[in-house]
Amino acid sequence: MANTFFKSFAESDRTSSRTLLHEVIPITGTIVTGTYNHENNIKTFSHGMFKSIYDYPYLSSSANHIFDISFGHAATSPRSGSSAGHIQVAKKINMYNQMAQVLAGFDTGSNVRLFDKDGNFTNTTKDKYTEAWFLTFSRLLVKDEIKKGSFSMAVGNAKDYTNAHTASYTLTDSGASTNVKINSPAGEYGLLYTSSVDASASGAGKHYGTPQGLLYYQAGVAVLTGSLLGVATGATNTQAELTSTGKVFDELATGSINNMVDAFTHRICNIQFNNTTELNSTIYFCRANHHEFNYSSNPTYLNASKIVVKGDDNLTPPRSYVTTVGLYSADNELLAVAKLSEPLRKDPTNELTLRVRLDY
Amino acid sequence: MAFLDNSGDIILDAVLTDAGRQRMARGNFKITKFAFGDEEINYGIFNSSHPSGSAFYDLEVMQTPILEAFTNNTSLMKSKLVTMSRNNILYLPMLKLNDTTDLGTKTDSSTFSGGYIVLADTNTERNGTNEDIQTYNYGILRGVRNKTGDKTTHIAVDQGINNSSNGLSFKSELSDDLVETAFLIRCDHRLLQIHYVANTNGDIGGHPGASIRHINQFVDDDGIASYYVALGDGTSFVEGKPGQPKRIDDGRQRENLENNPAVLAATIGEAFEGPLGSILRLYPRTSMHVRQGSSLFDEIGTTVASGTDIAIGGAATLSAYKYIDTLINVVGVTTGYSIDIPIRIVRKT
Repeated sequence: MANTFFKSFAESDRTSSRTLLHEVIPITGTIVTGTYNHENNIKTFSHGMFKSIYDYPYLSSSANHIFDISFGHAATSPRSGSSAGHIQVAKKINMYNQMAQVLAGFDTGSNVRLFDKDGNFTNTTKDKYTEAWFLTFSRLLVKDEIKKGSFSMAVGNAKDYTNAHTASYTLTDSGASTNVKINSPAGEYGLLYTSSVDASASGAGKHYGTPQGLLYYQAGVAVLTGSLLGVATGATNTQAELTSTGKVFDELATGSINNMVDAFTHRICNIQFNNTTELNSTIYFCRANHHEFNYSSNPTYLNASKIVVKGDDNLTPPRSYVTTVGLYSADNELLAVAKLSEPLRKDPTNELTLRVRLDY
Repeated sequence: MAFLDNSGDIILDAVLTDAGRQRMARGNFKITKFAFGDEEINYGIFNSSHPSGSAFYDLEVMQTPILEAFTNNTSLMKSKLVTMSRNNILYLPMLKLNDTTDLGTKTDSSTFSGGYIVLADTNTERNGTNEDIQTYNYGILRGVRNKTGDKTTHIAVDQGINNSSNGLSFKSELSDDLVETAFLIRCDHRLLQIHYVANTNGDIGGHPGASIRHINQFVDDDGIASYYVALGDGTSFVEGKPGQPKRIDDGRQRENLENNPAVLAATIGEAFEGPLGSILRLYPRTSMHVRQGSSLFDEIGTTVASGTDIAIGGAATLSAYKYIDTLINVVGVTTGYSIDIPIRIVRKT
């Protein structure tokens, strides 16, 4: 056996594994609803198609983009007409179509499919979300995907704007862990329901048991019905006032996307979900047999060429101390390194197997 | 870079190095082998005469706090654990610069004591004139041009046991399993390229007079070039232990050592009093970057306007110059022992 400080890995010394790592992501409503420096956390763009929410004043270099909010409606929506007062119609349609073609895909005639309320796309007209809010979550939060069954979003729906949070309901993707839809080009998605309804609000029970949106797990997008705040079903709002001025939008058509987003963010109590990170790991078993790695090239190991740990007796077994594991390429370049938290003694009477895991 | 928490279970803190990330980006990331390191350990605190007994010999060693992993590949794994086939080894060979006068390997002893001065370009080699300087002083190496007759003709790293007690002698044979047959050489690729020594005809053998460039294995993300050289690789880099064929005739008298009791260590110019191992010979040349401009000298070097003259040879003296200090790292592949060779690259201004 040649003396050496390298040892090659055998096939049995290397294995791979896949681990799903989950983190809880709480987004407090105070970030977006006004109590926490609202103006500086929300970035407005001149194109007026969406607003971006940051966890900190966005001009700061330490701010993280956490999600965007926008609104759109289909060309077939009653709000898409050119009636007086309807504004940003083209942008709302563009926004809807963009999200729909990515998330819902195309039908056999290459037409963009509308968001389907129950996800089965069987009824061509009745069960569509033709108006929708879009919450697109940052990859920083979502990582690889939102964990199914973990999403909840509480929305204040009291009629009075200034006291919007005195009544609320919570959207959840309950049951999604066992009833997920897979007919989207953007991956898996589930249906969002209200788990509770404020009994004092006008129209109480209206949302209960009825899907109120779609949650795309891998894409990290929530598509919520335009009627979420009770304004899409008729000419007159009966549930929630959407704008900060107290003005009631007429069928979601008379507000700009920016104004509507302002109104919507005001009513967000909180959002919470678990993200998922898929860790693919390679595990290297670094095995030191009893006769290996018992000497050291450390300059302090020798005193005038004599091995200090042996005293003056050549029959004393050699010993060394491991503090570091280096992983190398075939041409001896150090590619990864692992440090032990304390030295491990190595001598001819013991064997070590150090398990080094590299996550990708 | 903090210490790792050593109050609980033993943990392994693993990271990719910058070189590893670079290889991953290039798509040639493949781990094939491992090594163990012990760079934090000071074996000098191992107390083999502890009054409380052998269980306490390594008490202080085991209490050594360990730094967390960091990502600079060139700063890690400086000392490695070594597998030896025997457990009864008491002496291990070391590497040492051969700094004797007689072999053309002496270091500088004036402005850069203990190291070698490499002249950056032809202008510096000629001290700003059109005339060649015939003989350079000890420790002065030419960065560009080949020429015979210099007092220092190459750098030699000797391997051997630095001890003459217990009957050890340079006439004793070093065990074959301790003899280095290959070396890793690392240097800053921006500054230097490594050559091996040839004779005046450019052949291997005979008296040193020229040098031939060796191709590096790779240059890492920090610009450090690695060279792997081995006995029998067709170059003159590595010469075996006494009794093996000579690669360069530098005046050593290694033949028939055991039967020549008149030969003394001092007279044959060896670096060790104990058993002798192999020899690594090399010649550093300057890179094109260094030869063509002074930008690197301005960036990482030092400027000397006057007051610290370098006598390079004959009457020639460099008074105003810029210099960069760097290291050539040499690691023996068999024992893992390594040394750093100090190099000063000087450019006349």
